[in-house]
Amino acid sequence: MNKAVTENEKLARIKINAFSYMRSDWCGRLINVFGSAENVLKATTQDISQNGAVSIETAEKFLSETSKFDARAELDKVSNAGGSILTAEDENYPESLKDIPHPPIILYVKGTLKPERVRVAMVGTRRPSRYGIKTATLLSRDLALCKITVVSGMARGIDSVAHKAVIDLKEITWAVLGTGLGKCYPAENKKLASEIIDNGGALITEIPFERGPMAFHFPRRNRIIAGLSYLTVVVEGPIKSGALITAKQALEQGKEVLAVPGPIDSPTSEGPNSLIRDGAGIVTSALDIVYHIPLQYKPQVSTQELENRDKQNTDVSVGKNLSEDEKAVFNCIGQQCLNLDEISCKLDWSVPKVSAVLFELEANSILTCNTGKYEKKI
Amino acid sequence: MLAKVWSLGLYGIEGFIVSVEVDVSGGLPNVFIVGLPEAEVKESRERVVAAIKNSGFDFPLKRVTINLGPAEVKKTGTHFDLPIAIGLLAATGQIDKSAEAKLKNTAFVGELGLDGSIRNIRGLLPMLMALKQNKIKNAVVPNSNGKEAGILQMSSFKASSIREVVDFLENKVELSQCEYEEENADLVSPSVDFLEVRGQKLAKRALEIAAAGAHNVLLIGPPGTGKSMLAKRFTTILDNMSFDETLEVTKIYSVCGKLKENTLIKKRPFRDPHHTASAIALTGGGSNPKPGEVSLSHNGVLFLDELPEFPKSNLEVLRQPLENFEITVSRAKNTVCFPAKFTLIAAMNPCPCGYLSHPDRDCTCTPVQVRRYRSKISGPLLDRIDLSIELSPVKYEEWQSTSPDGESSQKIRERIAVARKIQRERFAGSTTTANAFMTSKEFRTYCKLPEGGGEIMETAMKKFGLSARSLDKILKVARTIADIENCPDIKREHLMEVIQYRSIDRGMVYE
Repeated sequence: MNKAVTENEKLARIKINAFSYMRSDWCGRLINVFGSAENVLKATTQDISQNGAVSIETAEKFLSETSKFDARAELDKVSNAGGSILTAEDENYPESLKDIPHPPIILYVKGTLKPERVRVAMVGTRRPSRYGIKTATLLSRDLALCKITVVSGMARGIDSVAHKAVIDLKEITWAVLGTGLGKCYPAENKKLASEIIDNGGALITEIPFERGPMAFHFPRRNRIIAGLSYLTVVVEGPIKSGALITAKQALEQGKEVLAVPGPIDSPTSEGPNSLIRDGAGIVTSALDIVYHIPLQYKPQVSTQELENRDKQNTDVSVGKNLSEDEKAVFNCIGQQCLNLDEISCKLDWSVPKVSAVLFELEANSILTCNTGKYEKKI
Repeated sequence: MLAKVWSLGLYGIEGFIVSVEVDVSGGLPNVFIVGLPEAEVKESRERVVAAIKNSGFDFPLKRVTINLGPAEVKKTGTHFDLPIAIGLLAATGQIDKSAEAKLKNTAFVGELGLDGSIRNIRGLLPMLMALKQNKIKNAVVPNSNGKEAGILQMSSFKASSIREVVDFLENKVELSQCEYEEENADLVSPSVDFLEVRGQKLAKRALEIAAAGAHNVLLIGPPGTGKSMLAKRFTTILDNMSFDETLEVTKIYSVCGKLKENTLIKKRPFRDPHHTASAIALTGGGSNPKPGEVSLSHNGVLFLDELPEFPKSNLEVLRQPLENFEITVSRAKNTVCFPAKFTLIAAMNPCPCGYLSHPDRDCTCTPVQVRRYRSKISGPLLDRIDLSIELSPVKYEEWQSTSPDGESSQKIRERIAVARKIQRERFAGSTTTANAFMTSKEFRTYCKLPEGGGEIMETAMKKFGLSARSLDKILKVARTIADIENCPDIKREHLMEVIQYRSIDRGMVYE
């Protein structure tokens, strides 16, 4: 199976993909029937209509649009942007993707896909709560420490948080995009995208180079996220969300789905809670994820170390080296997110005194400040 | 016959002497006014003719030429009516020869009604100030402007009609002198007080510092957090203006015709232009440039609510006054410089929908929208803001507490007066009046880093991403805090406190 495809075959597949990337099951079957992508493009309208079970008009449209599409120019654009296009026969094409129903017939990749390490998908809502942000950060950071590649979708919210936490450790993370490689969506993630590549990760998509985000891209993208990963972790998301689509696709692909439990009244935790009710594994720390990973991919950090790390994150150990004043402020904030006024009211201290202590705590990376609110650093 | 009388003109906010020459000669009856008169000066012809007739004098049926010198400077304002009328009467011999001495050293200003009465004019104060350095010793001003003229305590007489002026010139009656009326009006309007602001300790502290050092402030917070409420009370904690400062402010208001009581303005001005205000409304302008909002808030406060709603180009014009404390208005025919030394208080929402940092309500903005919203305020403008703080909504517990937890404006003002006094002594002999206006030389002399301050600054720059420019600002504000606490030197705590008031520099963390 691993014989390299000819240049013309690859160009033909790029053409077919450009027309039908949203229905790779359909064109996959077509290629099978005709023997190769080249033959598909040489076929008559009637042949395509009959074998592809589409109307004559669609078949005509298919042939005219594929013949118009300049696959060589597409190849040039991708390589100019530092990327490449892979077919299933390519050495770098991820093995795990070949096993899913309807694998993408070609894959646009920027960055490096090697070496193959165990991958875990981390997905969640675009509008996470503070809890979701914190959990996603902690989990993906610990996964990165275990040399597990975190796969996500580079969308706003949980996806970006998961990528960023890995980047902070200069580790590998893969992002599967809902746009072509030539577009960045959401626009604010431009820097994140380049950091993913700089740290040895990759951007992956089956969508032609210059296509922007379309609603139907994302469920397709989610099947690749699930397909690339050994298991899928859902951090936060309402019942009707992309995260749950990914979970569903992972299950269809016969893969494990784990979920982070949340408060029962939190709308963003509805999705994971319902997954848990339906039998998904529960995630309370990165250890829970690591336990599900088979022995041959044994993580490079021992479980003992992870347990120790969990302990280090507790308040007691952080509070150890603080002065009395700092401790008072630290304990006052607790798990909350407070502004200077609230802290000064609670402690009944003057604003200047609170400010000075907050500076020390922030300078020592114990607190972070965002839009005037202080909270414990994750 | 030729007659010459003195009057005064206005150029920007400076006055100058104008000679009004009236020549009456044979020819077809007509009246010409030359010497670059604007429309309102040209119209004075009709008023003068009627006023002279209705005051019982004769208007000559001859050719009358009126020249306003210096002829190359534009003349605006309605106050040339009186000198023109007096000149006409003198040229036609209707004023006794005995009046000549008085005519020579008196300047006349006033608008005429058709019945010969003299009406209120604008810009009297700066015009009279031009007289102070001149050999012309007396002035005749409208009765209703008397209080304004009295401020300068010079020889000025108030008159209410042409007839009165003529009688005065002929030594038939005495006109009363304009007297300076010392008013002990309550400087602080009793309607607002800091006591009424519940909670918001951080904002109060920041505004106290701002008032003490004349620093510019940016208040960021969701709707209903009291941004405008705080800003409106800011003037109640400012210390009183010196006499020179009140004079400067009164001059500007006089030129704009905004002197309601016709008396000295002692309260620091507070201007809050709406965000639909044009750039010209802010800077001042027009073919005969008049001061805009930045000058009307000279020595006081310019409050810009909903800052990002102001068109970007209108905000950029604030850069010059914020840097040089004056604004230059250039037009094809003239260039005028208006003073504009104000404290800027700006308020904005954290995001377009307003609820980004709200504890209970969800924000519906995307990070791109928020960034676009914040980027409406350019870096150079932000660089000129010394303190920026984030406010959050007042909690129910704070709102319902009947016992006011804060201090009264009076009490805060006393502290600020002390800090201001220290600054006045420090900058004695310099034009600098407050820490915010320090020159770079003064900055180097008075703003020394305390022991261990270098580490704080390094953390601020590397960890919190503050720019080198904002480090200077931090030192200046820290100087003010030290002044409030009556410390000769800046201390580490002062620096650490100020860094908490630079939220806008710290950028936004999106996740």
